[in-house]
Amino acid sequence: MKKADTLAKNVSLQFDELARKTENISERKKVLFILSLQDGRIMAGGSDTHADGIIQLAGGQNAVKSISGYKPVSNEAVIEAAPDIILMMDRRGDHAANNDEIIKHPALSQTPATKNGKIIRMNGLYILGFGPRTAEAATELSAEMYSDLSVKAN
Amino acid sequence: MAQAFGSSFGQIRSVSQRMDGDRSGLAVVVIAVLAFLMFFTAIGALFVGASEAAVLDVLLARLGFLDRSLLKVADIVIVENIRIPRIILGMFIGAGLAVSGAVMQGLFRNPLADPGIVGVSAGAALGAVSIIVIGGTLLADFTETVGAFALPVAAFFGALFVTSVLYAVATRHGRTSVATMLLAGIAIGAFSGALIGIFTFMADDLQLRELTFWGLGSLAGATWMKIFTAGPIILVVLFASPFLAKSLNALALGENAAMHVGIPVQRMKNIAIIMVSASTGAAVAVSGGIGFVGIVVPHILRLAIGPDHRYLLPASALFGAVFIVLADCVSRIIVAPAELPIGIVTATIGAPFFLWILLRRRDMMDM
Repeated sequence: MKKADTLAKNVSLQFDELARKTENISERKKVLFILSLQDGRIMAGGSDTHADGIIQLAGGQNAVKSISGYKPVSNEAVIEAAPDIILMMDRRGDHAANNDEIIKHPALSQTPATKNGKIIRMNGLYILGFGPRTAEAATELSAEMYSDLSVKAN
Repeated sequence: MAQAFGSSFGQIRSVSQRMDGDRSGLAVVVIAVLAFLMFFTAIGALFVGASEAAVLDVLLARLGFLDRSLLKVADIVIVENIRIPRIILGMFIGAGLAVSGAVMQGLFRNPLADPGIVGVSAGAALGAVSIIVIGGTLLADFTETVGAFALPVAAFFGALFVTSVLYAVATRHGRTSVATMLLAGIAIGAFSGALIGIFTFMADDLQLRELTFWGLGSLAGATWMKIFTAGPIILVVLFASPFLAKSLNALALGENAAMHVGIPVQRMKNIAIIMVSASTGAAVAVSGGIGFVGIVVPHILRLAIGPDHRYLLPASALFGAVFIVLADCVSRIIVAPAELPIGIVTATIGAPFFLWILLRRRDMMDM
């Protein structure tokens, strides 16, 4: 019981800390979560997904929030959404496409994320698992997303 | 857009009230109308999409009437690298699937035959699903060597492999039995289905999602690269198919009768099976499972212009292309910014339309 209390306390402390860090972000970056890019088809995480949850926790906004769930999205819509960041899971065998595929992709190549090299890969279970490590994962993601801001702060 | 189809068929009907006898005059008219329709659907489809790109400006710039540097890069990309490849690939796939369907129905003398009957779809699905599920683990070496093309390559060779097995099973003493092929095709299809079932069982949530969507087909991954790889295969088949027309017509009388009028039946079967498996394999490899085109397109045309393959094959190619391009327009915008898999569209538009035609022409079917 005691252990659980400590854990709960720590987690909520971490969330408070994260919220404090992210509340002052003036320009929320648009993040496109790509679940898979099999054969050039983009399957993205819309609203009501774990991906959407972690993006919001990290102080970003989902680039395709008008879609619900994980769905194939239109190439044109991705260009229009102009995500600042592409977020993917890192998996063995680079299942979710390597950078080369993204750079050659007709739509993804046009996004600010690709042009600025802001492609973030994190462990799937870590960012989408929503367990005790979530606050930590979101903090880490947030730091990656807003790395340019922290550079300025230094 | 379905209305446009309806009215053009209405016209055709009024042109010829008598549907028996020689319909070659009507057939030529229908082919001309379809060619016309294909051209305009392709142009029209350029203007349909999830984003509002300045299509006209991009086209004018291409033709040299406008300064390209004044245009938004995104618009140029959307028109030239997303919409045009998608339309061209769609036309190839539609034409390939429809012609393959017509050839198979002629070869098997069975109205239910579709391109999948020679095991192509089952084999392609097996190849694709194995890449989706074990591409990152057991087949990692293959996926790494072939790179981004692992899935279409696996689907294509899966299709050819299953077709070869089926052909070997059905061929004895240099003679291919169409009946054996039909039945063995069902058995091999069921076996591939079971293997796909095993992969489905092994798959995680993400992979399940991917393989479900693959099975419903999509042109979303269309690129020039895919057109240059799958296109030539389909094109060769499209241009070769009219040479089979007379043989297929003779085959309608039965294999023996065809042989007696001097048709090299076995050679023709070989050519037809190779053609269909190559073009369908290529189509399925780049677009996933797009159903119903191979059945509905040739049947609608048979009802309109009769079963003469000399007209049926080119008309199927044109109508198939129109059908897929229109269906893809729907799949692009109906749930934008998401994409509805095109297989859903072809079946939801195609099936009721087919039924409607059937009901209007029921007496023809009994002839």
